[in-house]
Amino acid sequence: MNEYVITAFVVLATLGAGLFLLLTFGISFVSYIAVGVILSVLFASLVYTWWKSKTDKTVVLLKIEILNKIKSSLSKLEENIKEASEFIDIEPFMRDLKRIRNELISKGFFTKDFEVNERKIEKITLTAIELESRKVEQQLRSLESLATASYIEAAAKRLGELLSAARTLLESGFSVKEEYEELRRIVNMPSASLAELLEKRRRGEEEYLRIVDKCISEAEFLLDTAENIADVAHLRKELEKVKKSRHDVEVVHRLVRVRSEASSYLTKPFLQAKKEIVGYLDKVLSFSVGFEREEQAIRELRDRALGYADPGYLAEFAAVKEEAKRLTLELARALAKEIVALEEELKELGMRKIRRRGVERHVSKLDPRKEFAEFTKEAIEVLRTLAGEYSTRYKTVKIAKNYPAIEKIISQKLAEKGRVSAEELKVRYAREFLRHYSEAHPEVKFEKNALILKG
Amino acid sequence: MHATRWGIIASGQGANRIAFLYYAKYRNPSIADRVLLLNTTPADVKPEAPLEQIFASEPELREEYEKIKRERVCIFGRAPSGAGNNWVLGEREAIADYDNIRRYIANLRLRRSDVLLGIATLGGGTGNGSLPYIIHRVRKNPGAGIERINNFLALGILPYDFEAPQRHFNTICGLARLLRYNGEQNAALVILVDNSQVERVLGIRRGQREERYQRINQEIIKTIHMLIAPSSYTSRATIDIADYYQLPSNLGMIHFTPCLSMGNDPDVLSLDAILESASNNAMAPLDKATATMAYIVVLAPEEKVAKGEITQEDLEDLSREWAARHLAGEGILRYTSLVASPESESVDAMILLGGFSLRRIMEKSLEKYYDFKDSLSDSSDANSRIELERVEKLEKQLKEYIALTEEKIARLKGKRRQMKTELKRWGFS
Repeated sequence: MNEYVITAFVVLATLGAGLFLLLTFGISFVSYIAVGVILSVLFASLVYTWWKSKTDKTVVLLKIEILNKIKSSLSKLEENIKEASEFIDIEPFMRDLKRIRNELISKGFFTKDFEVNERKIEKITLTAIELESRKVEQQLRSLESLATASYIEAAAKRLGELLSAARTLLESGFSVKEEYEELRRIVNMPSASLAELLEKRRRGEEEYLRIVDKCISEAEFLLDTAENIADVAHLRKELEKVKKSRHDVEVVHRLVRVRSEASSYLTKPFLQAKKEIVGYLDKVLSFSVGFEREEQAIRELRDRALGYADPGYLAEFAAVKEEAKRLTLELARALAKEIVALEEELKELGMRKIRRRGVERHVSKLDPRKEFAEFTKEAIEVLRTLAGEYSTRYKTVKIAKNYPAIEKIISQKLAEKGRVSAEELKVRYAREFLRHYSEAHPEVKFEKNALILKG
Repeated sequence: MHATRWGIIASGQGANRIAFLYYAKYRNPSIADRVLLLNTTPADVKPEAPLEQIFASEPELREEYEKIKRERVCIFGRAPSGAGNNWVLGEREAIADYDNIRRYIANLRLRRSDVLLGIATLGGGTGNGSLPYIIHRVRKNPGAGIERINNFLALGILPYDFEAPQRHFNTICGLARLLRYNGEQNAALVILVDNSQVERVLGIRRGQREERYQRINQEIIKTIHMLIAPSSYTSRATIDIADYYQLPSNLGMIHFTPCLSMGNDPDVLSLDAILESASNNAMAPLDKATATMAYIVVLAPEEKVAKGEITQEDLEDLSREWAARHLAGEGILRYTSLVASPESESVDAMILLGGFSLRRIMEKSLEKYYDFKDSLSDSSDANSRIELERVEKLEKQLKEYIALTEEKIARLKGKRRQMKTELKRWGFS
């Protein structure tokens, strides 16, 4: 409408100006101006038409986008409500969704196939589409709130059951602590919308299945081990039932029974294995003095093995044994490294009598691929040799490094009193220091039995 | 708890070397950059001349020096050739140019509660002449921009036995002035270190003379470190700095000497053995059986202290037993401090022996002192003249101090009181 008014105004203004110019300057001058004006107007019209068509296209695209958004929100909510159908009656929700859809079709926003009706929306203003979009969004929000309110209680109940079942498995001795903690974290995750609730439930179910699967594996290991001792066919049948209904929280009781009964057959092998591992780690600990990091790790592993209270943990011992082998190797390497370092120190101190014996060859004897019993037998020998060599060199280095200071103390004491005993010296390795002093100072007499220097 | 803040004022070439090395190597947070080097170097020589010897062996320290030289190196006096081994000239230059020195001290931004350690070699002219005067001024009348600091300790380095008479003469005059100035106690504490004695303790032979200064300086630096250690945060029983001087001042004996035993292996040497070893390493000649006071500082690896392998309680017990064995009459004053050091793997011990007989120190210097004193003449230039009258006064002052010390030692070594009789006198039946 405005365009016509502007055009009419421009035409009238042009005619007025032309008349004024005609009366003032005459026909010839005015005809030049008139041609110029006509050409300018033609050019301006072309520019205006191009600009106008471009703007119209943008508006259409915007309308389509808004309508597609409405369509997507509707579909998403529909999907979520369908997913929640296990716990809620979705019929009223689906009915409402259908109503909203039909309204949108009847208003010409969408075709019967619920595609954007591009032809019809050209005639509808952008403002009208925006208003419709807001209205639909509001309706969807309230529908989702209603669905969430119906679903939340049922979902919480289910997740609570899963957590409780997992706790039962954990408390019965299955090694699912980490998985249980993860499930607990998922259950406690905040969830306000239906989508978040559904996601939480999905992840909770997955984690619970992981726990059940792990327990099934553990139970199978126990049955395999117990099979040589007793008839466990009935327990295998139970386990098969569990495998068929993994989602069902009731199966945990079957799993607990399988574990408990299988464990009862395994008390003896369990105690034997525990004794073997703890006994071995005790021996290894005796060689780890002075190697704090390694000692700490071995001590922790020993405590872990001691913490397994019933035969159901038999499966865990395989991992403990592997870890024991790894820690043995670490300690052996640390001992060898220190021996080499001490030998270097001795070399620097000018003690050439000490020769390197290639401690690495001892370490290379240890093969963690060997059976535990065989490995431990060799490991104790290797550790004993290495610890012995380490201890000898450590003592030699300490004596060599501290001798100059001790020599001075001995000389001072001899000068003061004419004698000095090991007891008076108040140092570690006193016997060795006194002997060393007597060798370096032939003028003094060393009474070996009484550990006294006189001179 | 706050660590005590320390500052160092080193006057003269030898002291400059020690203080700079300590500053550059230890980087002690208790000291930070509060180090002032004073000298009367002639105008045509660079101020860093005394340190060239250090830069030659450790070139990287030149950079450290460059960082501090503008604000921490003060050249005072107007004499064209320094103090020239004349302590009177060193003192006069300090008096005349005190305003200049004062500005540098003010720049250290010291607080009343801070501790100053003055260092000087007693055989020379600059440090020996100026330090006693500076201590006196800072304690009594420091001037604008400086708070009066009572905690001003002095570390005096005694010359080698073989040095010329004038150096031993300077030593006795310097010692007298560090102990008392204008008839009053001067330094809060006087710590003495003897070059020849340190050399004997370290076992430096004739062939090693080249490195002698460096090794002796290292020992003195260790002493400074051990002196400051108990004020640090990791001390198990902090010896407050007041402990260093309050009671000795009351007893009238303020001279001490450190005994060090450093780098001990705690896996081999017991604390007892370490204390024994330290007590045999006195850094000044003395008969340790005449010592009446002992401050025992042990720096041990943090790990050993944390595990309880070395404890303050054990150290206290051992100190008591050690004092009973070695000090005159078991001593009259004893402090013990265990300091946990995160950097150290060894155990370092310092016993600061005090109130001992100065006989052996005087013995080595007295003859040369008289040789020089008897040759003094009144005909020299008035500005640098050593007045006999003043020397006599200092001598008298020192004799009084020695007499007091000897009396206390004798009393401690003498018969113990009969406690039964004493208790009766207090009214116990």
